Amino acid sequence: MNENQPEGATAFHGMSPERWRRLDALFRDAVERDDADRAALLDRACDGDAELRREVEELLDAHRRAGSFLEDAALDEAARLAESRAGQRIGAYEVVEQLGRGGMGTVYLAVRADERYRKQVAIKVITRGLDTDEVQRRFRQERQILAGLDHPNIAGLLDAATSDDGLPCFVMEYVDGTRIDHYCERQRLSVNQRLELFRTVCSAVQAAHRNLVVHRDLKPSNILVTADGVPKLLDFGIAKLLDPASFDQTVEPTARPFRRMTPEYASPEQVRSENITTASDVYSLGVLLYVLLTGRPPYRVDTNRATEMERVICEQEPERPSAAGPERRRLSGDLDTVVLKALAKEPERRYASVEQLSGDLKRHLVGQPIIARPPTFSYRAGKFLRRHRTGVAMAALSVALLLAGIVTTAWQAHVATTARATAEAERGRAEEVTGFLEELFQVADPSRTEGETITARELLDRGAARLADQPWEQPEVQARLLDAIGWSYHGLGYYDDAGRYLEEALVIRRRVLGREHLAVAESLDNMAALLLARGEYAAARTSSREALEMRRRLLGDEHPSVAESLNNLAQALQAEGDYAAAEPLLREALAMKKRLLGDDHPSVAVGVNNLAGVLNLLGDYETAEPLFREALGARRRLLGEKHPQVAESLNNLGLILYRQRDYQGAETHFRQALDLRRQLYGEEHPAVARGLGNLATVLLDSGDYARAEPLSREALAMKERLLGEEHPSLAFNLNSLGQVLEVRGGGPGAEALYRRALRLRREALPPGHRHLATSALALGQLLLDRGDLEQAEPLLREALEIRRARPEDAWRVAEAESALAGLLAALGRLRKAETLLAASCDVLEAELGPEDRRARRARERLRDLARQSSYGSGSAGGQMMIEQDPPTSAHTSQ
Amino acid sequence: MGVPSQTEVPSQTVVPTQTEVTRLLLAWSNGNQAAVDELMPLVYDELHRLASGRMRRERADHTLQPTALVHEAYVRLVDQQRVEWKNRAQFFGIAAQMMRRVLVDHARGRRYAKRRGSEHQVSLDEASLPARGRPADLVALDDALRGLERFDARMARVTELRVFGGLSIDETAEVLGVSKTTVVNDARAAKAWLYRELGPEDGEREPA
Repeated sequence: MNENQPEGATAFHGMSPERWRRLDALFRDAVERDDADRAALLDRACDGDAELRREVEELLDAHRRAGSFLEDAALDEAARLAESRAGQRIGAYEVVEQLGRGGMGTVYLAVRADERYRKQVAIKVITRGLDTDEVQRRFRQERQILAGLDHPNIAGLLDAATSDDGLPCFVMEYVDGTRIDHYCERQRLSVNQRLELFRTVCSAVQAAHRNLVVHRDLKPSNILVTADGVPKLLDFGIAKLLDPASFDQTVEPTARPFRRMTPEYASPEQVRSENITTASDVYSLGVLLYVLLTGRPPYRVDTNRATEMERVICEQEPERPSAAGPERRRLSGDLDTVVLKALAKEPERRYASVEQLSGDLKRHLVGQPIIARPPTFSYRAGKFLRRHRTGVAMAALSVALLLAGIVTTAWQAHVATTARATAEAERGRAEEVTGFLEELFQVADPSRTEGETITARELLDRGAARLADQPWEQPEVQARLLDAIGWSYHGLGYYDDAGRYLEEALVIRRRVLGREHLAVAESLDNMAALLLARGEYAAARTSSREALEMRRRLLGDEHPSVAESLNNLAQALQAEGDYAAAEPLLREALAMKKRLLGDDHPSVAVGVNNLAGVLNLLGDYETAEPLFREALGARRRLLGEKHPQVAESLNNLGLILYRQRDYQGAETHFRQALDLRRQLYGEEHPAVARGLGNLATVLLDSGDYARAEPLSREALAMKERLLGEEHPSLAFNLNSLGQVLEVRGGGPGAEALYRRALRLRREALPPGHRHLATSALALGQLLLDRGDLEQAEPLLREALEIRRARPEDAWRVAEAESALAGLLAALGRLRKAETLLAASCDVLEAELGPEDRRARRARERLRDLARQSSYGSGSAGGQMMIEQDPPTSAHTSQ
Repeated sequence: MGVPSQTEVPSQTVVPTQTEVTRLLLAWSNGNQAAVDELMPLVYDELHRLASGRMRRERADHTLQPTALVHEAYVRLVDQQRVEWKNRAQFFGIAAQMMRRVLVDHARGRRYAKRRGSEHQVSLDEASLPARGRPADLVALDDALRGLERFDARMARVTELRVFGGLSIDETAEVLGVSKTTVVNDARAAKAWLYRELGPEDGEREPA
């Protein structure tokens, strides 16, 4: 270490020696005194130097808290050093450093001391009370077999030794690499790349199986990937050497001690201490594949109780990977089938060999049909989807998947249930669904429909029609399908149909399941999201609050569904303008999601996005922007580039750039969002209309009125077609089109547009909502310009009052003040008008720049006032015509 | 000053004889400054050997105290029949410095290993270090001590002797040739400065 290196330079924040000395002296003086005395000293010595005072207080505080932290730091490092065994010899090896520590022992990097090339090895010292002699004896027995495991993807076991302090040690090939699951994440491997890597792992396990060696403890921490991307399996053969049951075959299976293992990866037969075969490795590979594809284990075993652990592993069916992971569409179908087959509870239902497992993955990768068979209906659904991958819109795909998902869930429920009676009932349910879907997919089969491509809408219409006229033995299954179909209509933007089916599902659920049931809460939540989309904000609030309270009663305060309900309630509050109430709910929902789902989860990205959304509305752009960016990054990573939520994030980023008056950046993002939405939804969809409207508004504010006008008209017309003529979100487009018309001298049209916008908002929004101010101001100014002071005055006063409630939006207040000043001038109250105008004009010019149309308008008014003539002309304003995407609503199918 | 770093230490160290260390110590007290340079690597090696030789199963925490190690090294390396109180103080002065170096080198090595990002073969059970309270990072502490040294070398030295050498107040005063009160005050102030530099973040502090 070079002493001349100015390492200490970073410490003490570049404080000057003089300053330091003064502070040090003051501290030494003060620390000796009692409280009163000290305060007097500090008052005297720091007179007028608040910074000095703060610093000396910090030092005194540090003195009180320091305790033995220096000694602890030294002791802590000494303890680590002591454990490092650095320089110690184990057998013929010399320890270089400690690599890590696990529950069974510690692993060291060591070199063979008597060899010229100082070959590196890893030594695992077993610290858990095991009989060293016995382990050595077993090792000698197994040595021949283990030596035969010469494979490029297996880290060889070289030797067994005893440490100086008498502990058994295994010497093995040293691998410098990264755990396979971490490797996949860090390298951002695609699903295909993960499958290829996994197949290499399979080839190593196959080779071992050919040598009659079962690994018994396959898991990510036993598979390292080197910098060259080569996976290496560790610890082959060790688990058996350490297994108390494996050598003494005279012991009855039931009497065998509980095997030590990693519960998440242990097969049912391992947990039950039954015979371990190659099928156990197939199972563990299934768990590994599950983890690599979804990022989480198939089930959580967070209990130490052996019986509970056994129950979970032996009985609980894992969720399909496609339902657990981010790559829903990519995983459903073949990969679900492959993983679930490897994870079958009974060894004989799994793949008969690792070759078979690996072979199916290969077939999947090259597009051949896999050997494993899921139940026929899911398979049919999958086939349908593959055939339509190019022909049908993404939305259709997700609808069909959703339906297929219900079937699979029902099927799994059927498999998972052990009680016979329940199993019978579940089977009946599954079969009923199956029948329904089989027919549905038959009509959708192009070979029967003469090759004509079916649209998502048609698929849904047929499904809905069949649902309605078919007698259902199981009303709750019917309700589940109605709910799914309703939600699919919602996703496609057909809100009327959505409402009909969601409501029908709710009614059935209430009748069959009672008023208090999770399925009822789900229906209420879905209804709330729909009401929100339809602009019925108060009803949405009531419905989501009811869902939230019910879920809390049924699930407790901490549950993903509760977090979703919190989110949905917050949306309703936000839509009504109560941002202050929405924010804490969104924060709570986000924190809960992070606790329950981890940081890397699409639902967490939704939470981040929605929190940013409310912060944006609250005017905290500095906090909101990075959160929007975070959500966008996470969604791209977790959901892929082409996803509605990515489009939403792009739109929101555009929005926040617009708010900060980066019109160019905003336009770019709005365009990207719009393009993506057109790809995803086609030309006609509410989200596309929102995108068009936002683009129009940013063009308007950039002064590009010619391009803004047609876009604005198109957005308005599309919304009228899709949402009807009474939807409150039409007001955004009415207002911006009105502005374009005013600026371009489009005559009387603007007034009608403003009036209609104001009416829609008055019907949907509570008094005091800031969107009301925008509409009132636009109309008020227009009337003022026209000389209709009587009608203008209440509107302008209302706008100003609403805006003054949020003084932090200074330019918006100024805009309303400047309009009111215009009114006062017209009424002859010139002095008052002038004071108000001069101040607001300054604010507008400072905040928006002198070229902004609103600033120019205020300046004109001021000049007019000086001439004491007319009351100015120009455009109405209000930067409130950008429509923020409604926050993503949560939807869970049971 | 040529402080040896770990890489300069031959991996196959011969345990230095008592005679050699004692001779160097005496030569130094007779004014031979070069003896210090020879002495330091010997002390470093011995401390490193002592520290890393402690095995888990026989470990009770007191044997790990760096200060106890320094005293043990003294007993092993120095022929106490032949040296005086002054030599003892000199030895501890060096040993404290070397102990700090041993521990900081080790901490730095761990940091480096962490930065390389490899996870190595930890298995048999998921690697899980028992959660310790988080004592100050020794590399950061070393850094802060260097920073402190730029303002007041004596304060840094008092800290080094007390924390890494385990010297008592009397011994520290003797080694540095200052009064006991000075040692007490320096140690107290240094600790406050270092804690302010290294302690918990602002958020955890009580409002001033």
